[in-house]
Amino acid sequence: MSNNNPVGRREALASIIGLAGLSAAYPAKLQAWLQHVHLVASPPQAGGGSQSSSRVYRPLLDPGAPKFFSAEEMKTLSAVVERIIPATDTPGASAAGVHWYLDTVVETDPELQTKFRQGLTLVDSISRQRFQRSFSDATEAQQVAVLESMVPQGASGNDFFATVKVMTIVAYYSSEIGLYQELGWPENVVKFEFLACPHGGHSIDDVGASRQAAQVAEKGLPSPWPSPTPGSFSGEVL
Amino acid sequence: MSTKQEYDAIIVGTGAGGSTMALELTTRGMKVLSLEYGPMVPPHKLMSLENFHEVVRRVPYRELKPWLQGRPEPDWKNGLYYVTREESNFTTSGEDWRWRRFRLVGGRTKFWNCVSMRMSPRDFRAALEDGYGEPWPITYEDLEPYYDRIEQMAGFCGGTVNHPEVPLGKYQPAQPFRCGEGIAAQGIERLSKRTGNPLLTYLQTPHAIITRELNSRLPCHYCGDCVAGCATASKFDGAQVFLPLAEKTGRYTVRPNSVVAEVLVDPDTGKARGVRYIDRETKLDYEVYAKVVVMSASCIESARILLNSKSRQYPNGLANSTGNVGRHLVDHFQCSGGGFLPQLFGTEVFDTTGYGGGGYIPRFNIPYQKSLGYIRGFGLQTGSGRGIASSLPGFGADLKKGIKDRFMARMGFGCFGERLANADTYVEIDRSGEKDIYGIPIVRIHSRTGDNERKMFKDMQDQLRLILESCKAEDIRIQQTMHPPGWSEHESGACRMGRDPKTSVCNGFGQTHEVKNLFVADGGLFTQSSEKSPTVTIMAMSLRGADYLADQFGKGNL
Repeated sequence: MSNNNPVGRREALASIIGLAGLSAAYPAKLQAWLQHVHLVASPPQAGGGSQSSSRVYRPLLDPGAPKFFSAEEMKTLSAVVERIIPATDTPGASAAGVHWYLDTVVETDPELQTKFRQGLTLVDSISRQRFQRSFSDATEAQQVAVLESMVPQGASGNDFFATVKVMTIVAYYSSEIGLYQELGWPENVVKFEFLACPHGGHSIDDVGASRQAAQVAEKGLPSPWPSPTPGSFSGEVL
Repeated sequence: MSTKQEYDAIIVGTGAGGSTMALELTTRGMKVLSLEYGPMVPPHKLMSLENFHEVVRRVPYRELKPWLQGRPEPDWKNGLYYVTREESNFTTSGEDWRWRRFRLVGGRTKFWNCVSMRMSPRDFRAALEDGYGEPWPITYEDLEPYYDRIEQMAGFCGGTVNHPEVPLGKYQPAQPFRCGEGIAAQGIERLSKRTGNPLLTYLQTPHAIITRELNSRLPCHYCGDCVAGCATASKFDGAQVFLPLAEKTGRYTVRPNSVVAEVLVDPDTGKARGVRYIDRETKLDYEVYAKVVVMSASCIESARILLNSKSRQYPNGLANSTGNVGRHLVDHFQCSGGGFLPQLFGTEVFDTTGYGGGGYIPRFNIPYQKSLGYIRGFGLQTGSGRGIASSLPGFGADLKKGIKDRFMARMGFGCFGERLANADTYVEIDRSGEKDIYGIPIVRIHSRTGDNERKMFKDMQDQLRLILESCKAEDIRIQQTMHPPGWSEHESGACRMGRDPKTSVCNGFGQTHEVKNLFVADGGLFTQSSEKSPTVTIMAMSLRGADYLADQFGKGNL
């Protein structure tokens, strides 16, 4: 990559996200330090991690046996969270281990215990009443119908559904599957230069236009900082 | 136990005020000892880029639950701040004041967000203009040279605009605006035109972070987790930036894990002669002596130590014969609002983290606030970037897609407003006589939120809605209830400065009216808090106090 040529945004992103772009300006010692403290894993490719990365995405939690819920309740809960955030081109809440996570949270809280126990019982009984089978054995469409009956304000189970929905969202998008695989977050990484807005600005009136692929300005890398001296690192342990 | 060695000055605490004081006094030739409650923590132990899924594995679920339910202050942070539950040393009355204690070398500067606007000339005149409370004994012009110096010593970055409510400092270039902040700037400009309020502007927030190399410190690497501590000391923290320079003078000693119990007084002269402290590890009692004592233990802790320093001459505690120590305590109060910018829906994902918020909306309520019947003001810290649209309606694949589309479109605003000091908000030694595990009497923090705060909070909510709507944000959420006081961690005022010894503890240099070799150099000094984040002003006042202290010390006046 030559500094004289205009650099495409994708390449610019790649060099910012990876540590490669740092080598010229940062002493090796510091680079090793930053890698040690900052990078849990090697960053996925630029432009979203889902397709190109060989990274293994772990579920949030999978202890093997529930702490609070019965095995039957866990099956129901797993189906509920999967309907809230289903598998699409990426895994859903169940594969992300959200139900295991909820089990460990609910276990510590008597208030949530009551709410979840009653809520899961209600989900199951609505399903049996309407479709003559348990929620976990119902078809996807039937499960959706059961949960939809709980959405309106004041509907039976509305409070439970609102709680389990928010908790599922928080847990799923905190998981590696949700954050990296679904959303394509490239991890917080060391950046050579702050990227700010790589699109060259947005008009406040351009509502909806960027729903399609944004037209991105070709933008060269900003000029680098002056190189630090070898002794300039102020940390005390390496 | 006592040590024979006598220092020129003992500084209690190593945070923003204490580290500034330590550097200036040692540079001026004084022999200084700093006592710090907490340990010395190497920077790599502070570093944390833990995402939630990593935290889940590490932290007991009971402690994660409040976080999950959107309540402030996860308990696990207490572990991060280096205090244990057993070290509890306060109780509350009235409203549940939150006192977050940060106990390690560097103090709160280890974890602060670095937001660093100067207070304005108007802020120093506030009490004179509206008649509420005690006037500052100093003016902006008194402090200006010290702002200049501290910004260049510590390394600050910021914008280029000199706003009447936010004076321009000596800054390196700031991090440019992100996508959402660029849109917010347009929205705010429109709102300013529509409401005819020229004060409503969008500036780059000044931060105590360097974006260019400074004194062999590396510039920011924009990892995005300043609050967990900075490995390269690009963010100012007292322990990594000022204390090593103090050590280089050869006149500086810092003693971590030293819990100061009281200031000792010479019964003959009535002057401070040192402090008594307890070693946090061995629990042994020590006395150490100096010609000058400086309290920089943080607002509430400094008041606690002074109130606990009772002697025959000072039965109400030191520097407290007029009963002002612990009084006039305030904190900022906050109101947050946010939404998602449709201009950015579907934007490709890239790492937008940098050093936190990019834009600051200075106080702009001056033209209209009279009609709403409240005084003083608020400013807004803002930032954009990733966000999870958890309040979208529905569920299923549509919800998943909606969240993904909005992931890069989050825009958030946080108002910080001034609380007025009132008679019901103060610190005192708990009358139960209860002591902490070191045998030091605990304090009780009384607090009450007044009408002025409630009126301002309502205005914050209204203004947040106007601003978010002007930015065309969707899914707008605005905070509905006020946090408990102390939540903003901007407490100030418990040892305030003033001209009149009857209504204040210190003079304009932080020297106590009552004991001339006893100084205060922390947030306690603020006469009026203003809505600005206090740290840079603490540092500037500490530098001014140190300048005066060293001067007077040299002349033999202390």
